[in-house]
Amino acid sequence: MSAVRLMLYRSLSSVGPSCLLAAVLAIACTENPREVFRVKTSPADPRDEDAPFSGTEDSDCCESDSADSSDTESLPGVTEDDGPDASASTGSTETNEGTDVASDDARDAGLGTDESQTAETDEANDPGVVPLPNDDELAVLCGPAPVSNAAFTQEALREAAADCAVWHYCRFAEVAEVLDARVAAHEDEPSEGSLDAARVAWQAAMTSWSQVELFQFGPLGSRSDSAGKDMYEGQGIRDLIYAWPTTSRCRVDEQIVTESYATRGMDGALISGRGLYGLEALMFYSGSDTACTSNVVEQWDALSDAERSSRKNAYASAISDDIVQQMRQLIELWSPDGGNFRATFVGAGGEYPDEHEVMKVMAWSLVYLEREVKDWKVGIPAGYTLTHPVSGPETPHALMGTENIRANLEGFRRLFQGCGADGEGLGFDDWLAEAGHSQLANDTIDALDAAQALADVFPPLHEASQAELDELYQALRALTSLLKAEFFGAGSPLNLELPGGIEGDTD
Amino acid sequence: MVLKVIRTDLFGGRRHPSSLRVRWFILTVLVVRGLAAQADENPAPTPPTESTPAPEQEVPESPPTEPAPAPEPPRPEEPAPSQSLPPSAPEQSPPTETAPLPSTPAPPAPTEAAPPATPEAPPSASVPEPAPNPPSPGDTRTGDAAPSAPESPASAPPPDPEEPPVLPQEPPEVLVNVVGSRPARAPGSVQVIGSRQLERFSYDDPNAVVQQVPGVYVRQEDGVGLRPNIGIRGVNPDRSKKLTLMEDGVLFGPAPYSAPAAYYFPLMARMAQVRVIKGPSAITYGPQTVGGAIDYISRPIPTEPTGTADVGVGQYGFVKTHAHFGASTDHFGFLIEGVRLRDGGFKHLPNDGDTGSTRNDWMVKARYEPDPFAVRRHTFQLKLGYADEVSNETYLGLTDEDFRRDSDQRYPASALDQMKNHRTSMVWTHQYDDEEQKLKVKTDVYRHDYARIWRKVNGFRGAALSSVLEDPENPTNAEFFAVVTGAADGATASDTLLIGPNDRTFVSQGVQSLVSFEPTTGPVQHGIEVGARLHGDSIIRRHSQTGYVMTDGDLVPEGTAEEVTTANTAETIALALHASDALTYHRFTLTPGIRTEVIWSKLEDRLAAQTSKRQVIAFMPGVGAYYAVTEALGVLAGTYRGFSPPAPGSDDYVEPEYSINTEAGLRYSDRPLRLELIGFFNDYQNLTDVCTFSSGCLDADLDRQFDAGEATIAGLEAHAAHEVPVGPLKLPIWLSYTFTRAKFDTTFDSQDPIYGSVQEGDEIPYVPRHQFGGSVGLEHQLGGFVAGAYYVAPMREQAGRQPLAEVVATDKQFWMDAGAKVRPLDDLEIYLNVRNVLNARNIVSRRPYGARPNAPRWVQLGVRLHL
Repeated sequence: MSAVRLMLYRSLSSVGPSCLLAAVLAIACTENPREVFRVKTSPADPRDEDAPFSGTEDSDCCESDSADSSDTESLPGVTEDDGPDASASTGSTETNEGTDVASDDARDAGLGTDESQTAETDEANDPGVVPLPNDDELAVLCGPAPVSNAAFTQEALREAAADCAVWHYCRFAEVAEVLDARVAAHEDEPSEGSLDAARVAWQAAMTSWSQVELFQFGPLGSRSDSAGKDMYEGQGIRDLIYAWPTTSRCRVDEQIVTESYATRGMDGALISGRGLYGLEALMFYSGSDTACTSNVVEQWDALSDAERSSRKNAYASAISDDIVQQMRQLIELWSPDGGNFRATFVGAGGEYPDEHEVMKVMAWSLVYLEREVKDWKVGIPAGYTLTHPVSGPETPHALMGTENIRANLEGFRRLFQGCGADGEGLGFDDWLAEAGHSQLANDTIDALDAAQALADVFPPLHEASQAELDELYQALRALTSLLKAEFFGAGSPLNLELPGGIEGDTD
Repeated sequence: MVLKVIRTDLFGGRRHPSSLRVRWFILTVLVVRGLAAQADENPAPTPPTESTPAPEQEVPESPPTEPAPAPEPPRPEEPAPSQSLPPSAPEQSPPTETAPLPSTPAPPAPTEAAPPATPEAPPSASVPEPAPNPPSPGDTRTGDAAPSAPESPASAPPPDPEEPPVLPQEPPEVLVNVVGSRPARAPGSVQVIGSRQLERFSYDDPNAVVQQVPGVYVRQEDGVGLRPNIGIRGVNPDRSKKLTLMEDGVLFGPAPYSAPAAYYFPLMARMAQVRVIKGPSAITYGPQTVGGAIDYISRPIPTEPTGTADVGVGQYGFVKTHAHFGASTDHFGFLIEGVRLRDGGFKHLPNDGDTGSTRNDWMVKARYEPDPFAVRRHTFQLKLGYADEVSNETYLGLTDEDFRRDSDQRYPASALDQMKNHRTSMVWTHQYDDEEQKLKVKTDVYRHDYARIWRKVNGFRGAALSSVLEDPENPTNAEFFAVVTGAADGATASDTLLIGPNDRTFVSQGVQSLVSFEPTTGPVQHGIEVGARLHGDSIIRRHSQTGYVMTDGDLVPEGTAEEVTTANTAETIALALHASDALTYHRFTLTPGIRTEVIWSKLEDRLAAQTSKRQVIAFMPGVGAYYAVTEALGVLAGTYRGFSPPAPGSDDYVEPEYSINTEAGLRYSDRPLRLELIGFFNDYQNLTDVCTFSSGCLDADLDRQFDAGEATIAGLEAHAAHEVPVGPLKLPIWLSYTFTRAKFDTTFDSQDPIYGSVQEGDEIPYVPRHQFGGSVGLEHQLGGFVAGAYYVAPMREQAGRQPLAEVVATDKQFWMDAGAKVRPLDDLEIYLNVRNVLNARNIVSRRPYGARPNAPRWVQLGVRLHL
């Protein structure tokens, strides 16, 4: 992060970061046996370690509560000597006081709130901690939301979507810079306070990223994903930053043991163990065990607690730095002064064979709501989705499920309706109106409003009852059914087809 | 000229000489008289009479006025002339008792100055005598073996006793009728690979056999031809599903209508002949007529107790065991044949697992003729077959980089892959011949049961194998690629490997009948064929998969429940009718015809609890013409409507595949020289595609049909074959070249990755622009040598228009094969075959998952003992 930006943040910031760990852990320990999706299984199964589909409670938080020294010693930055203190702070309800502060911090950054953001530490006001930018600061750095008032044309819509995507990229990049600074600070001087500060920054980054998830076209997208892919210009940057559901704590542990990221660079780290998930596992998982079952275990056990903690901090720093680098590259690719992908996208050039293919790829970004959100994030714990490639819930250690969904819906609105806060500007709804299908546009927005309203008051995902999950699933389904049956498909007024692999879903 | 006729039975077997002398003589006389009649511009042959005296010779000789060479005992295992006359599908001209004489009206003599028969005239008269000893390694002609009769019997000079024998003696000619005409006068392109050509290279790979024919393309897959992918004139070669495939005129595919992908192929060692039919002649065969048909002719029942034992060994654990034995009496005949092919596989797994295959193929034939001497004769034949296969074969290929490093490696993710299948077959045939009326009625009743279970890796829970191997450096793919190669353990649900059996059970059964007769209307001779087939087939699919976790390089069950991905049943009942008439007037033969398919199909999806039905009625008219410019040279042209039925359960808006196929060309046939040059233009109104796993389709799209709209495929086929006598030697030469241009005329998106997102003007994948093949040999009665060279231009693997160098395409393929054999004893033959002499290693395909190699240099040595 540049010095100028750091000074800007500090001068603008009025609220320091908060530590949410205690509240996070407290929430995660809430027993809800029905929800096999939201709590971890036995660490014996590496793939289920972070994917508690089958059973037992989340060991990270609960083990922290148990104040077992073997658990606390593995907290990043918290050595064996720090264990008892860390345990006390994370397990204490006293930290609830900091919840609002932390939430406000994240909200100020335009990131909304989360059920897990319920803690604060005194370190939040530590002048040595790089502050998170709030909305005003982000508006200075990235500008206001780009609202296009142009008359509809397909090119104008691409222009609006491109600007909105870049705007989201910029906002996430700014938060990621803060995250990187805080993780680096924690590596330099590990402490509870520095860890908590990094956690808060991670939560803010995660929420910001959850909006970016809806803009997976161009270099951010993947050429190989069966849904929401950009088979023409995708470079897969998204998976380098956030690869859920392809995430694994074992992959993180492998890096702790082998440190191949240090010798081969981040290319030596597979996507399932890096990016935002890698940071989450390193900063939020408190257990001292490894999620691996193969020969990594022996090497893991051979490491001292202090060595493991040191390696975790170093790897976390490498990850956060890589996220920043990836975002810089992404923004550079879009920049008129760099790769100028914006011109390629708007002009339907590059590898795109024609304008319609660009529109199709752009529209496929909306499918994220159908597959990732409806089928996986909600459909799995609700019991609707039985076949899937998902190891576990999103953000299994930070427990931000509902917050992520809220942000996903907001991202959907900004792409479908318009990039303004309330959907102002050009969006797909304008294309539908232009094609004479205003009713479909209105129906879609109504369904979106209903789903958003429900999500706004939805309890933490891991605490939701079956009835609540059913209700949210049906609300999302009402929205995505319009997408699948009318917006896309054989009868699409816009001649848009669903990506492969979406048609044969659980509906 | 010496005329020789071999009496053969209707099913290809040679009759016992002693019981057939009378009729041989009759036929010989008829042939002679027929020739004489043609010389007199009287094309109508004289009907046979029972009172014709019989010669004493075992084998009919030249007319009595000519000196007869010493009779030579036929080589029992060699197919007689009518062996090459396929037992005849009801949709083809039935074999004639005396070669093609009855089936093709003898054309008039072109000119007074060239009085004798046309090159195709009295074929029986020109059929050579079988070799007294094991013959030459084979026939050089891959085309029809229409006999040339350049000289009339009357003008034929007597044999010169001083003339050194031309050797080795050739086995009987290949004589087939196509839509009422012999191939040499067929209105369309017909190529026949005779037994000698088959024996020259002794290919076990069906791909290699048909690749000798111009206009036939092959997409190799496993290197040994377990499941051939053959296309004709630009049709999608995937699993040969766009071809009509027959054995002895009977459809042999597991379910030719309901699931046309040919997961069963007979072993080539059993075959005596392979016929490839293209052009207007294709309407005689169905249901697939867009490209053409291939008919594999199995070994006939011999006339005398005859057998052969063949044992070969080779690299990569190759062991071939092949034996057949048969005999005949006046009324009965039988043949039993078994083939076993075993190899350990030329690919290798990190755990040294078996990558080879074992195939067994058994056939039993039994024939009964109540009265073999009757003019109106009935013949009954029962053919039973059993085949099985266990092959450790996979769909998983390699990345290009790994392929260049070691093309024969296999990733550990494929270690559990294995195909098991078995098949039983029954064909009961009755044939009625009325020689006086020139009427033949042949009826087949058949049933094939086939079951296969292919356990193989299908992909990841979170990624497609094809995508991963296409771009393993992609950050997302790197995650999965590390697991495929065993470099990393599985760690997420996404990188769990899904492995499971695709269990399919097929039934194909029906009854077919073909009536052919040859009346004369004034100066016009007819060759009328009317055929009907009532066919039913079905497929029961149950596809399932289970998660496996890569752990320390081994696949460990995940412990999750089996997931059933597909459970459905497809059934089809089809009525096929066809009629044609080869109208011959002087030099001109016009053959109009029509085919009708009425198809009722049903798909029951047991997972979705849905049933869909569909009925399709298709009419396929066609017409072909042949004009004999000279005795040897002819001009041909024709056009017809191609058809490929829609997959059962396809939506009503999914149209059948229709095309208008046109061809024209020249044919020169003056035995042993044969030249053919044919151009073709196939105009598709609606090219279709049925998704299969082998093409890389997703489970949800399996066996769904997609319309690809309009397309045009045009090309040029050239073929030349000759046998040059060089003193006591023979120099067989064969050349083949195909130029093809295939492109889409419609913009569309397909779920089949072979097509993908197609723009108008894009080229159709897996059609090489140029394809060349040729062979030359040197043969003597005591042995011989043959070498072949093949070239296939790079083929794009997905539709597109960019230069091939810029897209994913197969390698330029050039390879050479060689074969040699010596015959130290009359009944003993030692052979050596070297496949891919130059050990060229090429990417022959990237379907469905990654780059696949051709087979490496493969040396095989064997001994063949004739009993």
